[in-house]
Amino acid sequence: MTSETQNPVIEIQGGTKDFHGAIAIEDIDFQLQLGEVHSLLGENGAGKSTLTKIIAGAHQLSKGQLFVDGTQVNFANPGEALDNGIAMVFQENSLVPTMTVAQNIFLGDEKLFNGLRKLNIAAQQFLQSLNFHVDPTLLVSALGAAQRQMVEIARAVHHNARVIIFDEPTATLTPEEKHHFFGLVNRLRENDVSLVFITHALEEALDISDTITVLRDGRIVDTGKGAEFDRGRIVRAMIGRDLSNSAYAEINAENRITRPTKEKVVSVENLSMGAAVRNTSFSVFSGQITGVFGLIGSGRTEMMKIIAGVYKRDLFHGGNVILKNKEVRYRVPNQAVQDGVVYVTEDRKTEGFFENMTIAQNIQLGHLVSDTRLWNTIGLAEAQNLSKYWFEKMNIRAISPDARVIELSGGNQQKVVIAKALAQKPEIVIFDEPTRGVDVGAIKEIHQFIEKLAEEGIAVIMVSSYLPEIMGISDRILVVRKGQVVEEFDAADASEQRVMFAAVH
Amino acid sequence: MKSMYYRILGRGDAAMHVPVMDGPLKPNNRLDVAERVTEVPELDNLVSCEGKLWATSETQLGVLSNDRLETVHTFSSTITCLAVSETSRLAIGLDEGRVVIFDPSSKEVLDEQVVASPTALLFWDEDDLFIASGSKEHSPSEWQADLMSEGRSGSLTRWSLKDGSAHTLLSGLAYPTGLVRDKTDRLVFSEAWKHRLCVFADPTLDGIGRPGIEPVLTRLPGYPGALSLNPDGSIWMAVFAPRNQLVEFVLTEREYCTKMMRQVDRSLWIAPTLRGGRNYHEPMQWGAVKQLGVLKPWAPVLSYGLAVRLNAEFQPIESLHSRADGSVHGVTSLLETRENDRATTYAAAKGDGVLVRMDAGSQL
Repeated sequence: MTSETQNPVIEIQGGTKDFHGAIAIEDIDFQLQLGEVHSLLGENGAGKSTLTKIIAGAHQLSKGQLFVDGTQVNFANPGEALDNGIAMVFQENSLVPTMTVAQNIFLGDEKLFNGLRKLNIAAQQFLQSLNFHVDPTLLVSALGAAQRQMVEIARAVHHNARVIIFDEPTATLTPEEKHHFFGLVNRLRENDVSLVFITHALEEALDISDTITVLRDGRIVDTGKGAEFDRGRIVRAMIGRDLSNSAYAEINAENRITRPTKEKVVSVENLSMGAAVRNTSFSVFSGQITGVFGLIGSGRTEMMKIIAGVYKRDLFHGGNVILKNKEVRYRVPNQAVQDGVVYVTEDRKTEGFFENMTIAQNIQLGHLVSDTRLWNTIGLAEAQNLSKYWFEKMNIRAISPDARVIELSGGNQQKVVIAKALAQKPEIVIFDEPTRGVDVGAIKEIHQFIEKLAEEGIAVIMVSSYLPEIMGISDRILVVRKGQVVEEFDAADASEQRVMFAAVH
Repeated sequence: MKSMYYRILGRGDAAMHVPVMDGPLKPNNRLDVAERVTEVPELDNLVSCEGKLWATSETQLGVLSNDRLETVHTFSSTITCLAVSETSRLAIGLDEGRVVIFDPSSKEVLDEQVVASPTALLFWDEDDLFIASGSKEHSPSEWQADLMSEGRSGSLTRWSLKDGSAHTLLSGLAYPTGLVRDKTDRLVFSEAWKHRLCVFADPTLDGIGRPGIEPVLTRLPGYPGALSLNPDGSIWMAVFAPRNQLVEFVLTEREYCTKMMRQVDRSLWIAPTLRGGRNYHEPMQWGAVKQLGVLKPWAPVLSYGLAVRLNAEFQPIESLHSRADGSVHGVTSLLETRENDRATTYAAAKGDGVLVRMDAGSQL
């Protein structure tokens, strides 16, 4: 379907975008052909999102030209781009949380007389055709991150866009859902829809792309046919060096040195919370990384949020959470923080940081939360030292700790969330999807940091739906299915097939 | 008031939760695949004395030779516990309520002391013997009755062999069943009905003042029994029966429990046992998870085979299991020896009457 003889659907010539002097992309020449899947790869901050937001009308070029079907355009807003058949599925989704799934899908496309029942039926049929299992009558605010992503994708497809830009569409999807998603991509490609696909999962890009373009520091460093690329070429282009021992390196179970168990710090007994968590029991040990794997909706996050005091277990016969031989039942998360439990959220934008505050302020807030004094204050010098310490320790790439979090790339935002959590001096850290939407370079740094925490004796729980990540750094793996821990694996015994089998069957 | 609150909400003591076996306690079949050395009814109490492996079977004290138990002496009552001193004297607890000092070379009883229910013995030195008594009301063979009647009458006694005096150091214990002197010279004992290990927090070990106990390992998924120290400072702990939610529930229903103990044959009680599943009259638990006549290994059972190795900080580091469908249930004694510079562990399963041997234990 990809035809080099055709005029490109989208073309950028000499595209440059700067934000108040800070160059995001520079002198970019980019073409998107009809019916092509074009993957954009690069580390966080490489300029992928900026490039695609320019195409989608969210940003405008500072220099250079944008052509659609050979005609120069300059979209003032995403609405104009949508009128030209260009839709974008954002990484941080843009749904209306107070509306239902059906209402969100048909938003902007409502008829004069909207029957709610008809709307729901139409949405149900449409979602089923995409193989997305989401209840159209639910409020979007009640959905998990993965289901929101599905609704986003469904909405873009529903608008009959000619060009759809996916920014990390599969980050929140389970392997089964990813399979459906790639089927959908193939169907769209067959219908001559052009797709731009931003991802950090290199295997996915290699599998699905007709063309791959790699960006680094705002410039295109490599581009070519997908079939001509391999993992090594992509990684070299992305970061300018080989990357061994990363989440993407081959994992050799025989060579894994598992950290021995030390003290049992968390013991969960017969934990129940409605239908999400059903009578489950497990333990967590200090000095180890306990990986928790399961499909989206299996109840992993809910279990962890109960431990962290975010959710409350059932009032009657809800089970026990025993923290260092003390039975705990938190009313608010702050009580958990006081006990040394921190939860690093999977949804950093909503729950992880204050986006309009600076990096330093976010880190300082983390510290203040853990202060048990009634009048907890922090001196200016202490605050500066604290933020400087974590800024450097986490290798956050920004001009200074006084940069606003909203201006950072996904990976650096995640580092801020982690720094904010660790400033609370925890003894138990729960990472929920710690590398979602994070580039390979930052993934390695975050993994090394998590491993260091375990070596320091901290009990680490890492929830992830990315199997290589779970297999790569966990000392023991708990598999969750339908609200229960159904199987436990030692790192040395685990294989991707066995873990996945336990999660699915 | 608090108890009623707990009963309504299903919390605290009324929660009836059994800790999960995971991490180092993750189920395996290491006991079942281990080499079966010999089969002797009610094999128990492994000790090493003069380079030989000693064990007991009911009333007989014997030496394991050529993978057989050769009887050295027969006592008048079932042997419940055994300890050996540095000069190779044996202390032997008898079900009839006595502890005797036995000389294996002359085969003579040198001394004896009346103890209600001897469950564990430990020579601190040549002159001092620590004796754990499980209960005032029940003999060791009636341990199920003590559990189901919520026995809290166990005690720890120091018997001076020099002057014959006996001094009770602790009382009101919930069935102490194991004694060991750890690498740092602390006296550690298991308290079965409270599912925990404790350190006797009295450095002088004379019980003067108000000696306390410090729990060092709690919330065990079974009833801990005999303890034995390994060369590297780790400790083997025999867990002679598993905890079970049904049993925990029955224990809270006092009227039912009392009636059951009065009216039902002991072998059919809803209570942990060293070996269950042999009698089809047994309560429903075993049949409930049979599929096509096959008992599933994860079935909720009344007997189980479990041995746990603890590090010097009393944290579990490895475990040996015989699951519901296994045949090494009711492990009551463990002993680690060095053979060809390799750690070899013997486990005596009193429930199934079998001695198994495997490469496991200290890493020196």
